[in-house]
Amino acid sequence: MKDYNLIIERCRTGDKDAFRTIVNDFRQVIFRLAIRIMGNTTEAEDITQETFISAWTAISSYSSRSSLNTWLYRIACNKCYDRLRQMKKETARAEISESIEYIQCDNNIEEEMSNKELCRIISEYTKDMPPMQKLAFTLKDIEGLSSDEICRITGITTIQLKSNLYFARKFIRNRLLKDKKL
Amino acid sequence: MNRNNDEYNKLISRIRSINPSIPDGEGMTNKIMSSINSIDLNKKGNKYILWIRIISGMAACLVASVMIAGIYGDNVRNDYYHNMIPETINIKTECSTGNMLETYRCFIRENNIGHADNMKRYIEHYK
Repeated sequence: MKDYNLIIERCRTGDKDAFRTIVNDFRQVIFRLAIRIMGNTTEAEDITQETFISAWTAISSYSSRSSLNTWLYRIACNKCYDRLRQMKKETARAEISESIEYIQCDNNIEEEMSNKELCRIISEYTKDMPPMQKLAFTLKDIEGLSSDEICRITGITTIQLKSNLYFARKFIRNRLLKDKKL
Repeated sequence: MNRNNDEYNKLISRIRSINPSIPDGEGMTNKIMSSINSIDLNKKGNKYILWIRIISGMAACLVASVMIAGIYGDNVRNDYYHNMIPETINIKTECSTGNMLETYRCFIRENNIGHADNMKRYIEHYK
C-alpha cells in the first residue's frame, strides 16, 4: 500500500517523478469514469489528461481529509460536467467527435471493441440525459459510490442527489421500454 | 414494473462488466508529463506580477476616468458660457430677429470674445 500523502508532499516540492506515480496509478480509474460518463473514447482521454494537469496545478490545495481518489474524481466529474454542458450547446460538434470514434485505430482489437461496446451502450441509453443526472447515475449505479461520497464529489445535497438519481433511472427505464416496443 | 427493473439491472451489470482500457496508457502519461513540464509550481513571482497587473490596471482606469471627467466638465462649462443667458439680466433692446439666444451666439462669434465679459459687452452693445 502506497503512502499517497508522502507522494503528494513530494509533488508539492515540484517532484515530477512522484506525480508520474500518481498518473500511472490513477489514469485507468479516471479514464474508466470519464468514458462511462461521456460515452466517447476521445473525450474520455482528453478529460483524463485535463484532470491530471489540473491536479498538478492545484496540488497545493489538496487536503488529506479527503482521499486522493475522491479528489481526482471530483476534478474529473467537474470536467465531465462542463464538457457535457458545452456539448449540449454545440450538438453539431458532438456529432463530429462521435464520427472520430470510428476512424480511430488501435492495435489491441479486444480493448477497442470493449471500449466501443461501452460507448455504444452509454450513448444509446444516456444520450440527451441532463449532465447532473448523468453524473449521479454513473457515480451511484455504475461506480457504486456511497451517497456521501457522491455529494462530496459533485457538491450537491443528498436531496438533490436523490431527485437526480430518480429522474436518471426513470429516463433509462423509459429508453428500455421504447427498445422493447421497437 | 418488476420486469422493467430486471431489464434495468441487466443493463447496469452489463455496463459494469465492461472494463474499458486506455488505448495507449504510457503515451497518455508521457503527454501529461510533457504538459506539466511547462507549468512551474514554485513560481511565487506570479502572485506579485498578478498584483502589479491589478494595481496598474486600476491606476489606468482612474487616469482614464479623470481625463474623461475633465473633458466632459470642460464641455459642460463651455456649453454653459456659450448658450446660457441668465434670467436676471434685463435686456432693454430686443434684437432684430427676435431670437435672443441666436443673436447672442452671433455676437460672441463676431467679436471673438472670451467667457467672462460676454454678457456685459452684449448688454452694452444692445443698450
